[in-house]
Amino acid sequence: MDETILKEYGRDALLRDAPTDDAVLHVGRKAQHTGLTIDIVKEISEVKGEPDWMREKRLESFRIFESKPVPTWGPDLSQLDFASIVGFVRPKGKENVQPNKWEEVPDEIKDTFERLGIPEAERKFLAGASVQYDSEVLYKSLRKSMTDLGVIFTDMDSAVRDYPEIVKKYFMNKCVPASDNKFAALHGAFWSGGSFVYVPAGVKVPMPLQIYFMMNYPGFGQFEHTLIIAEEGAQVQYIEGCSAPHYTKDSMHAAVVEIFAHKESRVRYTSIQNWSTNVYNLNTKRAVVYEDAVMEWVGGTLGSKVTMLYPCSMLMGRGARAEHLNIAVAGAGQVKDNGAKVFHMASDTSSKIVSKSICKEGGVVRYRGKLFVAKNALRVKSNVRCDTIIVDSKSKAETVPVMDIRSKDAVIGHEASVGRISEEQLFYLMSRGIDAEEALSLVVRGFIEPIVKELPLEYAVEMNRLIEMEMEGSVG
Amino acid sequence: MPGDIPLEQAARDASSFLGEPEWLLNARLSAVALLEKRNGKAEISGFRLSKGKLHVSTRTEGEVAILTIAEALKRGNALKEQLGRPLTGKEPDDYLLALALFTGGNVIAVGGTAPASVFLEMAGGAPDYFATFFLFANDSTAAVFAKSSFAINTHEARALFLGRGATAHFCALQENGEKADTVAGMVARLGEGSSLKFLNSNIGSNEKKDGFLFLQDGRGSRCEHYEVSLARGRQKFSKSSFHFHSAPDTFSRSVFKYATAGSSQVNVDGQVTIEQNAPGSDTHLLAKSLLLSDDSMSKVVPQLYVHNADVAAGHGSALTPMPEEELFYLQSRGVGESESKLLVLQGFLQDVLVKSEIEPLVLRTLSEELEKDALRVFPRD
Repeated sequence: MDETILKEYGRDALLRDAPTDDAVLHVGRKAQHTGLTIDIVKEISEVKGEPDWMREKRLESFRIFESKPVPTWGPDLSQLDFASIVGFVRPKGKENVQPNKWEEVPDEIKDTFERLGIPEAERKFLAGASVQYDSEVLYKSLRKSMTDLGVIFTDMDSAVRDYPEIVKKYFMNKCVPASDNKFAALHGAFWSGGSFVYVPAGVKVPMPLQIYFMMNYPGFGQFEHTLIIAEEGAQVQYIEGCSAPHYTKDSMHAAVVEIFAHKESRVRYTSIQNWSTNVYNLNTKRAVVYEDAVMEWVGGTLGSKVTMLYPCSMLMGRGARAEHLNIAVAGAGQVKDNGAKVFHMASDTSSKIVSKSICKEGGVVRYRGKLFVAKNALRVKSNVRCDTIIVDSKSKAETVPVMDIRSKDAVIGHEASVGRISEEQLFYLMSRGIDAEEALSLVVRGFIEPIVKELPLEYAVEMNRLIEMEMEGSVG
Repeated sequence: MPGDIPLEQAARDASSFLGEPEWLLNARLSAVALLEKRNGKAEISGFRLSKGKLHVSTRTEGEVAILTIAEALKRGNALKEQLGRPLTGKEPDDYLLALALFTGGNVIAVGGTAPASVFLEMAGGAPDYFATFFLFANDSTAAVFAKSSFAINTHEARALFLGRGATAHFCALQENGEKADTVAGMVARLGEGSSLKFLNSNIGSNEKKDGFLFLQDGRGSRCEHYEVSLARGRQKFSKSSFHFHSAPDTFSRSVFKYATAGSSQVNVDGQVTIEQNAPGSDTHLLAKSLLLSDDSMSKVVPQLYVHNADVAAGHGSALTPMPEEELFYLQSRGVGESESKLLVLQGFLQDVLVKSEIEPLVLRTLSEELEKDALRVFPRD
């Protein structure tokens, strides 16, 4: 592959590099005229040189996508412009040249990079102004140590080509089938990029796998697909996204994350998302957790216009455990509709959900959760806690947890609180000589601490700084 | 059996059957309009124009008037002042349906400042749809114990209107026949500085559906809502409660306590909304379920919508099986297994009665009824 083309044109270059260059241009042009059609799905599959089963999967997904209505139970999606999805396969047209020009990146985003202390090269990448961040050396050494362990960590498109048996077994059938929801179906038809992680039985991956190291892969995409498989007794931590704002022209993201935690394995999935505020972030993330396995979700949802995100754990095996931790911040014009779903399908399963939200300047945060305990699942334990700080009276905080319990000896607890930052705590800090801004920041740090402490150090530092910035001007 | 007729026509028929003034017809029609807006055009089958044989027995003390709706309409404007107001759009479906179609019912008015006491028992062959309106005058104080014992399916619209500074302790015991499907929709409007304690308990009924709306649009109003029931056999209870805070310094508490036995089902939908114009509001909702059998089901959806920063809002819920430790303790003191379970169950349910601070005599009646019910699940050894 020609490295210079890659650098210059980013991920489109990957497609342009494929033998059917003309077809891509054709697809793009056609798409702009006709919107979403089944022909475009077919051509995408052809351009990628995919096997028949994947092509069938895409076509089937597309049929489901067409048959399902846009969900109306959540945030208002009426402004969602499906036509913008046409941008998926971009021709190198004058009006839509990728990457974005650094000059086009809004000042507020540049300012945030500056204050977070993001290195120059990363800034350009995050702003979409460069698709490559030179971490090749680091990545190579990482890749070697992983390969030695038998761990597969690669991008999804390569996985389809190189590990068809594994991908075929797990891809969008048992965990998130295309029929799950409209956006999963859309994803199934148009998915591209994302990561594939396979950890063989008994292997404990010594360090977190970070997509950060893989920036030279087309990992960040509109429809990225992440597939993580931890075989029996394996352990892996996967970190996606970063706390710095990620500027993009795309108006919608419909990613799918599928995780399989086999017997006695342990998977931690950490994701910090900070899309620019024009983005509809509509993801489907789900894990199937087998006997005695542990699944941990750690998430931060910042940025974006509308977020609908409810990571789900299906506890299928006896003794399986799930932990969901999430921070959401909603500012002016933002709607964060997030939460967690846990299905206890086997005995002795347990789950813990902690959600911390902050809303301000008219932002809306909503916790929407579902807890289900099947009739034959005995001795199930679950605890849900959601707290919200509501900074001003323009903002809204809502909690809608659903608990559907069909087993007689489940122990289920749920607690929620909504309120302002405690005047007493602020007063105490200020009476000890700390100024108002600093006092507020300390209280907020304390509020989100249970989740931030689960993040790796560099993320925790950035997260704290970011929340501090978000809270600026909230005093008095 | 009469055939299907449009809902609007049925409402008009009911109104002319009772010879009502136009404003009340308009109230019925706006209920129809709101229902149809929510659920689409509706028809009603088997609707009968009958005043039924709603048997109401009462004992009262203080300034209390109990009238039929027709009598109340002749006597003054108090009912018109309340029912003539536009609907808020939040009223439960079942309230709207019974409001549109009622062909009988009563008005209970409480006045004066001296504490009044009302005992109301409703039974007999009530009309298919009936209404009960309670008017509590400004600064009045009343304790109401309303008991319903219907052997047939009923559909009731109940409204509680509390004037400025009024205080009401309202205890509703529904002791209906095992085969009756009873549906009730209730709206309570709380005026400035008023206070309502509302305790509701179900014994009997095959399927029981209750929808409550507490409109707290009077500044500083306080509302406490307690629900306590044991669901057993094939009973199915659906409870939806909606507290709407739209004035400053309003206060609400909701406590739901259910034990589920047999193959019963309980669905609780508890909603609290605090509007932007209600700073200083304080709310908490608690739902607790005790699961007693393999086949029972419990679904709880506590919802909190806060549109204001100056609030204290929270909710909590817990679902638990019979606590082993408590059972062990009782049995280690020589109490038999079934008796121990009975005691734990009673303790679980009684706790709400104590919290609700109802009068001792009502408390005793309710406790006895709940005990009878509990004994059917855990008979004494």
